[in-house]
Amino acid sequence: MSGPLIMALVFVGTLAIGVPVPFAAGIAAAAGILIADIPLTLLAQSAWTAFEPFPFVTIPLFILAGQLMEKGGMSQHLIAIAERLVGAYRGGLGLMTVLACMFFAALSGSGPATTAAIGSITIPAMQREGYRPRFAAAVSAAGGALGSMIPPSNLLIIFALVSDESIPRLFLAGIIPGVGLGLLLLIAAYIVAARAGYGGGGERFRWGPLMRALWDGKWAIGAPLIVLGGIYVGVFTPSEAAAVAVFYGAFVGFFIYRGLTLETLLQALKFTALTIGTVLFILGSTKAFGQLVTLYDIPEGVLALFAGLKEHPWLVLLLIGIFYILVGMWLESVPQIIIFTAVFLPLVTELGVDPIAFGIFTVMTCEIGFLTPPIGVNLFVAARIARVSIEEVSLGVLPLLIPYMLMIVALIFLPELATFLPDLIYGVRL
Amino acid sequence: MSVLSLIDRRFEEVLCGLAITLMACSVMLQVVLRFVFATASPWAEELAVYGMIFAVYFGATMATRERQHIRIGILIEHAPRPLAVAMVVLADLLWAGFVVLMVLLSIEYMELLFRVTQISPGLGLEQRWIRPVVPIAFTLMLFRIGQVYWRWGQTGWKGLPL
Repeated sequence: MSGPLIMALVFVGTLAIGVPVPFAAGIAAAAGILIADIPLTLLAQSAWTAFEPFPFVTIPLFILAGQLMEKGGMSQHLIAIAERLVGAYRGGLGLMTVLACMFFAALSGSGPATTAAIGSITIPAMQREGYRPRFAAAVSAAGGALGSMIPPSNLLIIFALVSDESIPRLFLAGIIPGVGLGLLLLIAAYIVAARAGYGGGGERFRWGPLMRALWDGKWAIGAPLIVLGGIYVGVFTPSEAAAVAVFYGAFVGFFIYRGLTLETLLQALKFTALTIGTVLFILGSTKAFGQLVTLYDIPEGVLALFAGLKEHPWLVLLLIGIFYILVGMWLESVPQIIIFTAVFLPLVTELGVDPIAFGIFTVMTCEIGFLTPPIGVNLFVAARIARVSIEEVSLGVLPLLIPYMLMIVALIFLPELATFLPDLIYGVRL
Repeated sequence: MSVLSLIDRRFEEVLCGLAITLMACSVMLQVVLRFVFATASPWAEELAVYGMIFAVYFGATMATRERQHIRIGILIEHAPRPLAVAMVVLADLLWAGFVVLMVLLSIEYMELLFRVTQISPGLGLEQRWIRPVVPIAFTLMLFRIGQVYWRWGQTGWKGLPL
């Protein structure tokens, strides 16, 4: 049997009996190293060196910033703005949830965090108004997944680091697909709500209250302007922008919206540590994984496998998309991106696919993983808030997956959706 | 005893909190220094990275204590209890085995590191004084895995140690 096959079997086998993901990856990497007959100290070495690239600090900083902004009271203000915009329509609270998720996604880089920040307020509100809990939870989960598409995005940072692409370019590339996805989700939520006869009859749209909400929420709206604006004007690097976001979030949370206390600050720090300790920790074992992928020439093998389809890049992308969605049902997004980008990126660039567009495509397929059982993180978060079962939410979320599918297909045939903005601002890549 | 239990409950929390604060402050400081003095500060970058690595490793041991590491539980949930217990115990043994391997490997690697002097470019710190955090954290993780089982025993082996 060949090395990669044994590695894959060890990985899947250990995962299946319940070894936590980073350690299953570590055991598989150890097996691969033993078979390849290189010194095992490679594992000890990458346990440290994997974390050395400075841009990685962007991820914990954005996690912390998102926590501070949520606990500090920014999410309430964003929801208030969304309510004034769409509250009067059928399913108003559902639309409001999606819209507020879009706003919060521009502050936060994580899907589950966005679901928690917005859903913890809007799900109970929807339940009070007689929405089915299944729909309330599903719309928050689906909207929350925008958190990792609309910049900033932790998953795009991970993709940028493994593929050696620029983070600002990828962030820009996420804007059109992210906002487009948000609009499609609004339509889907409206259709579902209209058929079920939820809501409606809220206060009619008037400019006055909207303006007041915008004014009250100016500090929340200011956050993406400073953070993303700073990156694109060239004032900050993404990592610096993330640190600025932390301090801005702390300042507004303590002194302006006053949602933060010493206790919530400590909670935010602990949450950040637990998140990076469980999610980023895997970098240590997957770095060795990546080196083995190169050692075994896996991209070459994959290339040979797809040789017959060379004339049809769209078909290759479609197959990769289906594969990613299937894997994403079982695996966390971070290990998925790290492991499979190394395998598939050389293949698709060979076929003439833009790496930036492939990054957006990859993250978009991961979002579906957030929203499908058994390991859909967003579903867990939303189900816990709504106090319904995962099964219930996963049924509710089905119609809301259609926008994601449409967007993935659109990206395959129209990669300009992703590459248009970065090419416009930074010039076409060579 | 109460001091011990305080350390048990708060050690990683405090350490991670400090490490993350250090990371955020040094990146922020870098921004400020660049604006005010227009100088690059490689030591601030290094400090931030060290803060992150400490937070990642001790965050991982904290997650071990609180059983927060992400597992695929679908087989365990649907298996009859004896089989489920067997799977969880086997999974944890494999996990612990990997952790022991990492402790041994990183100690071996440290010995190598101690023989040469490798000084970091920014802070001028010798690597041998920082990198041992890896074997230390893995040793603590082993202790935390054992602790979960000790707590499980205290509850009379009810449920699963998850």
